[in-house]
Amino acid sequence: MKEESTPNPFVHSLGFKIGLMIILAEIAVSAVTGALYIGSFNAEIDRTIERKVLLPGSLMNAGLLNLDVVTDEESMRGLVGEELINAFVIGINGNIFFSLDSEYVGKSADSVSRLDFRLLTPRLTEPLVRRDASGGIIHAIAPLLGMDGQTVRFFVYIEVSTAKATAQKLSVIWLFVTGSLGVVLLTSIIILFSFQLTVFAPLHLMLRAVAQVETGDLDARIAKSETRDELGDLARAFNRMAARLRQNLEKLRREEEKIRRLNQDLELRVADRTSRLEAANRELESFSYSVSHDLRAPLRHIDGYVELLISRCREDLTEKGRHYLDIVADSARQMGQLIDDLLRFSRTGREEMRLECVDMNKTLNEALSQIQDGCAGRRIDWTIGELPVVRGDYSLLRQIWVNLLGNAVKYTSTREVAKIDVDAVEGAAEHTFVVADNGVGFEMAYAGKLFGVFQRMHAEGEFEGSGIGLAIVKRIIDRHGGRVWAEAEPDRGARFYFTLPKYKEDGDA
Amino acid sequence: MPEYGSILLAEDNPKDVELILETLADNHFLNRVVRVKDGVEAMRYLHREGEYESRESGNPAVTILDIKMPRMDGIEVLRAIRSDPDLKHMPVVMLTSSREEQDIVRSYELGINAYVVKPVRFSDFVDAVRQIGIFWAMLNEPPPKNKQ
Repeated sequence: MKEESTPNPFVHSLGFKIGLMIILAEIAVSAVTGALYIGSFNAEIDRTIERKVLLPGSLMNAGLLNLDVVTDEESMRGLVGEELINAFVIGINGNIFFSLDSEYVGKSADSVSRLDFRLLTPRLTEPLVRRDASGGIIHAIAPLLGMDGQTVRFFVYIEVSTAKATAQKLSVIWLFVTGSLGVVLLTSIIILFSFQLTVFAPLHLMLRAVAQVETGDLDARIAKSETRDELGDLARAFNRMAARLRQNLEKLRREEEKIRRLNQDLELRVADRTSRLEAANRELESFSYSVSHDLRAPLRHIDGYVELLISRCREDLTEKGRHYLDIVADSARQMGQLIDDLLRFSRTGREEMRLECVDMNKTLNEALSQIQDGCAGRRIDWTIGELPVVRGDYSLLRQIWVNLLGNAVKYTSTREVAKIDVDAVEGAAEHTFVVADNGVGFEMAYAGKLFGVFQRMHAEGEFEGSGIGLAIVKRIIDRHGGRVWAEAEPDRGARFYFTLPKYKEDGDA
Repeated sequence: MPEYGSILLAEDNPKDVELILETLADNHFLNRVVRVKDGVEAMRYLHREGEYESRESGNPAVTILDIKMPRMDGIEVLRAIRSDPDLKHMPVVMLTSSREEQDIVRSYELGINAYVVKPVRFSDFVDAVRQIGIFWAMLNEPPPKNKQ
């Protein structure tokens, strides 16, 4: 965040960068061209001034000018120009016999400090130009030849000021710099302006459209996308993309709506089905309730009147008659037991479960003491493992043990020493409990019928019971979200397995 | 005038009535038993209305109610008795086939004095009826008669 604390949008803008590049490029270009141009211009000025210095000497050597002219200041100025500082005519012996400044006339050439008089030798046959950079002077020594055209008779020494030339040069540079700066600014402005029209303005429109899409407005489109350049292509591509996005989103919304409606429909159907199921269940329960109660009254009457018959009319009955009445009474009692079992079973499914943490060791021990009566006079070898804690209804879970252990005790009654093992194995999601005995077992072919209501595996005379116990066990385990099954072999014992979901701290059973 | 108070027996099933009466007779109960067929008749008896207009005053020593009866069931009779200032202290016993929790809970909430499930086995049934008769009709001291 610190790096972005002082963002300068102008410095980072494309316009600024491009403008800067244009200005730098133009400055570089104008510096190079300026240097070349100014160089050649300066050389021209230098040549002009040299020509002026050399002009009198060359004219005299060509015989077009005589000494009278040279010694006349006015004509010299007319010839050389106003830059003329001084002009000397110096003899071969080194004496100055003419100077525009009369002070030097008659004096030796070495009195002119500026003049290097060692140059004044007869050997100097060509004019010589010297530039005195510090003094701002250009001077020329031109030998004047005699009639033979070979012998040096005089020297003409001319001094010209470079001040005017320098001023000329400066003004040229100044003109160039200001001019090129103006051109740079002007072209920069023109280029930036055209950039603004062709690039930045469309880019800005695009940015705005992208920002709109970013906030979820898929109707955003870039206006003015008809230009044929790359930006136009980009804008059209963006518009197409936004339209496609919008289409996709609408499709997605339609699908979502469809799914939502389907879900709603499904929920309604599930709720409807559930309420119908619940109603059917309630009906079934109240049916079994009233049937059970209404069935008890006639049974009571059968039993009651049989008793009355036996007690009041004993003398009138034969032995056979009494036997028949015993059977009638016994059947009535048996049916009463069946009804009681059916009621118990129905209650197991209906009663509300009170879920709590249940120590299965405790429920097992309570069940063991509950079935003590059935173990009287029997030799039973119990092996009981460590059992886990589960979440469930205490009394229902105890009922599982009562029924399973009761069965184990009952079906080992033919054994001299009964062996009953109880254990539990912890799995990933559930505990598996097992009750194994060495009793009479049963054929696996009938295992599917084992947990049905009033299903018995043995003839009525062999073992007691109506066959409701395992149906109750299955119903309790179903209500706890577990499974129950059995393995057995005739005469080799039976193993009953059931599972209960593992207890989790926050979850319920 | 019998020594003991009368017993009001509300029971729609004539066979049950006969078995109860036989049992009481076998056990030498001297109480007069008034039998009514349903809850409406029971209330008419208790309020001395209709055919019971001319009966002698006073409440029964105990009222035995079946729950499942035509027109007005035992629970409704119990509610009517407990909301009547003249009857509310009268002992009432449920003698019914129902072992359903909700029937038992509602009866106790309405202030039943005893709730007895009719046993299927006749000997047990005889036992139950005898005990009800001995306790409520003979041993129990009924509330003082409210004469108005």
